[in-house]
Amino acid sequence: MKSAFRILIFVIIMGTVSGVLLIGVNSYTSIFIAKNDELKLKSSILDALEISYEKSKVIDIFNSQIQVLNKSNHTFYIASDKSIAFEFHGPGLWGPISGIISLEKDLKTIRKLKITYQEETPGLGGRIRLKAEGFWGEGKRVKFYVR
Amino acid sequence: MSDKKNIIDEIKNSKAFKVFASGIWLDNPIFCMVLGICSSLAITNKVANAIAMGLGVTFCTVFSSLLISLFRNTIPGRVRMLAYMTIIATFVICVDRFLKAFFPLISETMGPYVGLIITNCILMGRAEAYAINNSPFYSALDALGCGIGYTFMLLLMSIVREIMGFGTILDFRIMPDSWVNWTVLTIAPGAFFLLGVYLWIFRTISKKTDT
Repeated sequence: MKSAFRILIFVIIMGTVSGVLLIGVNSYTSIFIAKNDELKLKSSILDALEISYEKSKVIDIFNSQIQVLNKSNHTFYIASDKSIAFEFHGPGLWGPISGIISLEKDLKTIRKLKITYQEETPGLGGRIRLKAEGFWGEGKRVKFYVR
Repeated sequence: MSDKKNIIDEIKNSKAFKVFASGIWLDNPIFCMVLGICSSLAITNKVANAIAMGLGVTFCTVFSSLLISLFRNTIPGRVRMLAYMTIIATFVICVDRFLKAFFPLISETMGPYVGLIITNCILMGRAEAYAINNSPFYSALDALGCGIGYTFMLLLMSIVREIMGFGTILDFRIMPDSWVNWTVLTIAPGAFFLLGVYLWIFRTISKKTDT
């Protein structure tokens, strides 16, 4: 009984200490991680819309060249040549897959596709980044239905 | 001159040096204990990844061994594995968040292998084989030696793989433009072959292979 009580106390203390430590690390790093995520999203949109940029000026170029349009709970990114890009999400085998797709101004022809997030097995499903971008190459025509 | 030699001999014969050096050479985690092979095959295609992984594993091994050793008389025997996992996981999550915050490109390239440091046998191995029975000072030294030994092998593998597979070192082009990349070395099967060659060389040098 005494031994079980000692184990219980130990587990509670250890869990609390490690939990507090992780909360501290999380709150310190989350600002930097959010900034990195924003940079990654904006640079991927610029890539998808084929707008050249320097890594240090991603935010400035994005703000000056991209118009953001929110419609029916969807966000669209419109370039000055009227080509349009938006994020897509879907389920993968091990986790969600997200990406950016850009369309020509006819809204039917794919300009570029980029996979921005996936959790598939490295070397196997993880090759989706290259496979998808190659398969949905420039000039493929598609029909989109907004749900 | 003889004083200097005596000091060097004294250091060489000290327990601290022996504990530290055994992880680097005689009990090297990769070529002697054959631990941590999964990550050494997966992430050594670039030197930058090998450095990040080596530092990450060394950090987690040193601090988890230190903590386990500090609380070795407090940790109840029946839940010691649970305690190891919690302590190791805490440090691994810290490393993962640090890489995501300050080295996002390396974090993305290494993908799930940063989180998988938790399952690296070196960490649990040092905790169970050494830290739980020894003082914090020696446990930290033992873990540091193993971490450096692991990083050393990752570096050796990644240098060859990056030069032959990409023609670069730390992304600086060093091979001539006419160089044809050995793509096989950038994928895991090529790494397996290279690891086998290294195991053969180092086990022969350290006389660990039966003749």
